[in-house]
Amino acid sequence: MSGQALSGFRVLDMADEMGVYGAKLLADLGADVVRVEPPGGDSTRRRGPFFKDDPTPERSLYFMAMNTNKRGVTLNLETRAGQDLFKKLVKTADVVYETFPVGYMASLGLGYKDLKSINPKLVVTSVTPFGQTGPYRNWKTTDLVSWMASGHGYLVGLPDRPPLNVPDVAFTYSGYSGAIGTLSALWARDKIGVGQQVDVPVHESLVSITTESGPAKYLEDILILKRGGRKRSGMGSIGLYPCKDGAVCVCLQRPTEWDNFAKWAYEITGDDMILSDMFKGNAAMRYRYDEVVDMMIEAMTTQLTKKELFDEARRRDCSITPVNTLADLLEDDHLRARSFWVEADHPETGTLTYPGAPYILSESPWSLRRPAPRIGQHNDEVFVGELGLSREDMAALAASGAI
Amino acid sequence: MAERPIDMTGRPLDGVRILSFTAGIAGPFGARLLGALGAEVIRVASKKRITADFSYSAPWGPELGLIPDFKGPTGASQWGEDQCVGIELTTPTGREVFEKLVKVSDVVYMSYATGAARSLGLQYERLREIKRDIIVIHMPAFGTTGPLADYATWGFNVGPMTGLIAGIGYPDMEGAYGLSVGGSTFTDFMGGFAGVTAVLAALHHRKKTGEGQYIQQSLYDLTAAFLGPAILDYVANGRVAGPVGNRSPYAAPHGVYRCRGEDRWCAIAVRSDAEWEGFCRAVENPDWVSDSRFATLRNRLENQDDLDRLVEEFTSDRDPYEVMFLMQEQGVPASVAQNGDDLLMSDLQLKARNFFTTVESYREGPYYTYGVPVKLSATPAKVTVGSASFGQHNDYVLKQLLGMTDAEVENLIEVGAVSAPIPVNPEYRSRTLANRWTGRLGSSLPRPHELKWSD
Repeated sequence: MSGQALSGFRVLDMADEMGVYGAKLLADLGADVVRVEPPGGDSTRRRGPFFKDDPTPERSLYFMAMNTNKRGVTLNLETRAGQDLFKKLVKTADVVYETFPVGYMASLGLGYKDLKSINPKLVVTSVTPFGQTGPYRNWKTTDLVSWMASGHGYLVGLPDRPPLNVPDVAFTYSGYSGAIGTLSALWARDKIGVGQQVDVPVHESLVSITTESGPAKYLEDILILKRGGRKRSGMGSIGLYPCKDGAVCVCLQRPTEWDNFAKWAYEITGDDMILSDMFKGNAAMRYRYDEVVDMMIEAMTTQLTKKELFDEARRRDCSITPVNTLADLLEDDHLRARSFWVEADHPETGTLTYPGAPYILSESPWSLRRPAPRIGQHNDEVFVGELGLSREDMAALAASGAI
Repeated sequence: MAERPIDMTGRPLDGVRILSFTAGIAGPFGARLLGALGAEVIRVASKKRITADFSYSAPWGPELGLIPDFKGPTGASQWGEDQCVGIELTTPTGREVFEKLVKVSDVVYMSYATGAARSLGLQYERLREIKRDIIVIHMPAFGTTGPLADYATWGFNVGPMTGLIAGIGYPDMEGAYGLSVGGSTFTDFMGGFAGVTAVLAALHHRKKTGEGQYIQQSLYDLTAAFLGPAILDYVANGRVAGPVGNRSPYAAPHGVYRCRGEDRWCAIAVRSDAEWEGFCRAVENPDWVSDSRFATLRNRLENQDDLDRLVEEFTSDRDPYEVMFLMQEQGVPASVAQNGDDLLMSDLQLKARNFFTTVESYREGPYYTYGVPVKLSATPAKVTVGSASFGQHNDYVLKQLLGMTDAEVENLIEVGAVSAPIPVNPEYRSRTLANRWTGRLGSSLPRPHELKWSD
């Protein structure tokens, strides 16, 4: 093993919830990500959950989850001194990663053109609700609003009740897009010799993954899918089903999966209707018999526990998985065997368990090197130690509110 | 060197070559994104797996007498920007051809189940013997180590295992077994995004150190990985959030409100005093907004039931787009709960950004598909072609890349090491409107700004 994949890249991270997960992805893979916050801490510190429900800026569990492996400095971008300090940082950086409203950075003299003249190799990644251009470019969003705009929300919930949010998903996607765009621009940099701008709309990140459900599905079948409640809209034998001790997720998509399940169900219930040819085929074909199919599936699943169903489904090659709780997740054997869980010790919380690597890289592994930073924790290390500011400089900056 | 089938000039990953073994959603979606970013993605396909790998957009598979290809809209947005060569890896001669191809490639990208990859000899140790710095990524549902490693299942099945279902639902559903994510199959795609991220990281690592490596990725792990805040809430506070509907502890109004029309809704989120003032302007300052029950965020949160009722009185009379525009014009986050038709016909932003793009399918002529969710200013990514059909690029791969002669290729086909291309049936027409998308999108239906709001 020879160090982490992205070590050697410095990222100045000023992203709010729309993009912060992307900077975490880069930090967790070894990039030197410096979180640049206004004095007093950035807006994501006001987002819960909070440690012991104490809503103070150093106790946001949201902030801690999103900012592992990052250092933290403060500076006030709206003061001249803060802007100058930022420019000094930019000289040392590979990436500026931000989620400000379109035009905000430029209004401070820190737009792409300004930063490029200081550091032509700089990549500036901007994550915004709808993109840098277009009629909605100045619009605002939250994860609920983006989820609804994208078409995903329309398909979650009950058909005669409001469409539902799935918390935290929307901005995870824009985070991934931000990371991908950034890494691509860094790769291109070696070829073209300069950095560039990366424009990441939350909206397009989410719309791009509606292939099974949104516009693509509409054009394919001239069908607007409706919300299916516990079922997957428009498909038979796919959804959540009750079982003896909770619920399972059943997805009998392929013809062979159905056949395997039907045989097993017959063994359990003794009702041979499920073996009938009329139900064979793939899930889309079974939709026309949706109610009957659900009845037959439930007649079987309600007789077994989650564990019984999951263990046996794996032996019989059909897709049934348990609907777990978070507690179950933390106990899960598979994740433990993969050393998925890691621990971080933060002065405000003591040691807590954190989720670990999304992927396992053999030579340049993911690792948790440090917990999320406290406000201004690395001001000295970065401004004095790396940029060479003196103690007097620092005192003046602090006095003027620039850091 | 002859012209490449897809011109990657000017795209960020131009020069990177990826051999792809994928089926399902996550893998192909990631492969398409890598292709859009400029990598030369070559699907190495086997005739034996043709039903599994090429007829995902069932029921157009060969069992219906149709030629396997991806022309449908769903397929076109999940698969694309790739080439295809038909090599039978389980034959010794086929294996030799494949190894020659590995020698000139950078990445082997797989989403096949663990067992399937093993049976094709795609273990990292074997690939590394062929090319020492090869990057190999393997993305089965549960990764390649751990007690569930050999379980082949759908992305849809993985999400509920992580506990994320608990937070989805209406408040009066507490204790019920919850709702699925319905038609939004979002979990799968996260695998695609994560895979692309990991490949990019590995490429950077190799540039720095000369080392390739093996990446194994589990959809289960990476789904759990984004649940950090919820996990910390449980570990630190012992709390698991139940279904809260569309409410938020940090904003009010915050919800999805019924509008005029069938199944029409608009989401509105008011987080701050400034946004509340904007909201009041948007609803034209009726008496109720000055009620002390709603004066501060805390008050609004306490009186949310009343508040939501009053908001919905406003919205239920109005077209959802009218509500969205009224809100956003006053700085309030809001959006119609859009469906597939809305996204195509009424989303002015997607239209202005040309998000839906035209591509040439290799044989059929142009059709619409989704674009790329990141815009790079100097080296743009783009989607230009649909997905290749089986063996479509045998000539390019075998003769141009590997320098074989016509005779050599014919011989390989004869001995079954290589499978001949399956030509698209010229009589075939997509059963949907693939070639009439242009007409649909250019129709004369009115756009939101053309509507009279009082109608």
